[in-house]
Amino acid sequence: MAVGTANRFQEFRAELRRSEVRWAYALILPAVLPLLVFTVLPVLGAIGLSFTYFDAFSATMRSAGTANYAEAFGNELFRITIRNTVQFTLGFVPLSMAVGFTAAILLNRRIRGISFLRGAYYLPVLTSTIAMGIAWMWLFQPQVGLVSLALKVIGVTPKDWLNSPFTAMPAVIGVAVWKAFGGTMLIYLAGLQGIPETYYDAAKVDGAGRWQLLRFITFPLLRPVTFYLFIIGMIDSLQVFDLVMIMTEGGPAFRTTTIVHQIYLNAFKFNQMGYASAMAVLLFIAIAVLTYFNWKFFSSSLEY
Amino acid sequence: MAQTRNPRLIPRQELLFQALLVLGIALGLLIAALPFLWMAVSSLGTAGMVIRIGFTWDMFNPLNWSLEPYLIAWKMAGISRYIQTTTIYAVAVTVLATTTSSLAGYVFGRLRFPARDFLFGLVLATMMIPGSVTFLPLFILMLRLPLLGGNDIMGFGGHGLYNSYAGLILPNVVSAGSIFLFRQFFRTLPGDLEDAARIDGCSEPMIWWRVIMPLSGPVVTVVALFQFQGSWNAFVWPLVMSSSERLYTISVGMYSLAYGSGSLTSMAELFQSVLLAASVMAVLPILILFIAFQRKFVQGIALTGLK
Repeated sequence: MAVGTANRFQEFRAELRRSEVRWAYALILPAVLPLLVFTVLPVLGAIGLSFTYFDAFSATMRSAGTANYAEAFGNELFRITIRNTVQFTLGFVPLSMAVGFTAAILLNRRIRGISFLRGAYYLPVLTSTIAMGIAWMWLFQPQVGLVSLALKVIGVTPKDWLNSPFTAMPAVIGVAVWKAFGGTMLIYLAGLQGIPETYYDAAKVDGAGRWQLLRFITFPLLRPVTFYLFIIGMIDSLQVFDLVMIMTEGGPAFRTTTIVHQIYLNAFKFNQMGYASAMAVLLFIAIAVLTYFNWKFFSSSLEY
Repeated sequence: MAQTRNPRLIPRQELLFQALLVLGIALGLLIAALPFLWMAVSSLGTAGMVIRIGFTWDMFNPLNWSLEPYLIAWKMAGISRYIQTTTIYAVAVTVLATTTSSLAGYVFGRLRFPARDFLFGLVLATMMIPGSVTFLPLFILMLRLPLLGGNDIMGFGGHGLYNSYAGLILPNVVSAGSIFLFRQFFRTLPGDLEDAARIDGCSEPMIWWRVIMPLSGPVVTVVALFQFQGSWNAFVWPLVMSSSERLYTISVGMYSLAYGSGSLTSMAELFQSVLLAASVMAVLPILILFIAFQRKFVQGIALTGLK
């Protein structure tokens, strides 16, 4: 009798287990299947397509071997694209981090209205790049735009900022920094709030000044955050698209065209799907390398 | 420490520091807010005023404001249609992605089954694959899906899900980042409740719906807000997936408005204001959501470290 009860109890548990496993697979299906079909499969597709000449509309495909990659590395425009992307990265990453860090230091205090201030700094991150790009085009308007008017005060001659080769890229970088620094700020703020107050108190007892607190406590302790933001900033820089599309369309004379912009143009305007895929694969490799460094750094320095 | 110091004697250096601090904060506020204010004020300009004169103090006088640009944007420039499309798209993506991601987060966080860690690793790995790499092959995939949109079994003959709501929405029905967020949160919940429910004969989906979800209000809100915000602002995918204005989201619609759609050029005087009015309308829903849920947005960033 007692044995029978125990058996039945075990059976009941085993049945529960089996049903748990069945449900588990059933319930992750609507998440895992789309990820496989709409994320993993396209990566494989891009790799495959990059070795072909492909026309999506007539659906004709010819093998291209490595011609698309050879084309990329031999192509003057691709070199320009890489140069633009490097320039953008060199401007955007340090600036967005520096501005975000400064904002975090400014707003890391308990004063009235602090959450309103943080919210206001952060708002540009959430808004549509296209909409704010249009607003900034108006700010950069040559004759009556606010940028021209402000610079006139300090004696700079107004010009068509977004259409001249020397100012288009800095303008795009400036707007990108404006759009992103709120996010950097919030991540730095979270980092700052993770530093125990006692460290600062101890240093103050030892007579450390403001700058020394920053230099010897804040900077070193925020290093992981800085590294993370550095990598994420580079990954974002490699993918700039919306802003360039709306503000300059890659111009003037390809001065601000970026990798994703070139992928878009080649695929959807010039119908060079194979070549566009080759560029997408190169972009993917670059992002994968950066992600690897990020992962490597954090799996070695942080305990989760 | 404060008591030992004479409160009347604030050192000059300290005073200077405080002044610089206030100045810095004000400058930051100005930089962050000015484009919004300038956009809003310029969008209210009457015909010709904005584009010809640019900055005048008259622009800030409410008596000079006109809603004409908004009416033109809403009726003639098609913003009402774009907003409608964007709403359908964003709401569908938000509901679907929040549901599928929380289900998967529940399974990965609470259930034991073979290959769990492998599958979860796979989900995490997809997080590093950005849309800018996949949008081109994904476009071809949607165009050539077999048996849909006039396609034969090999995927030829028709246009698949190209230029349809299904094509817009389907690739976004799940978000790996949200799965991760849900899983992290669900792991912190105590196990007793669901065990009790299980003994009572509750099936897993019922436990998810009746026990887990009611305890997860905050994280559901965070995920839903970011899903909505992301799809409201989406540009690349709607751009390549829609060929007719019927399916333009607000971002795509405004892009086409800014570059070359012909119907408005006859009103060049007003054009700038109309564009800016459209921008205001594109930003407004997100602004309202942000004001209503500001703490959730900030929490979400701190929670995930995602931007």
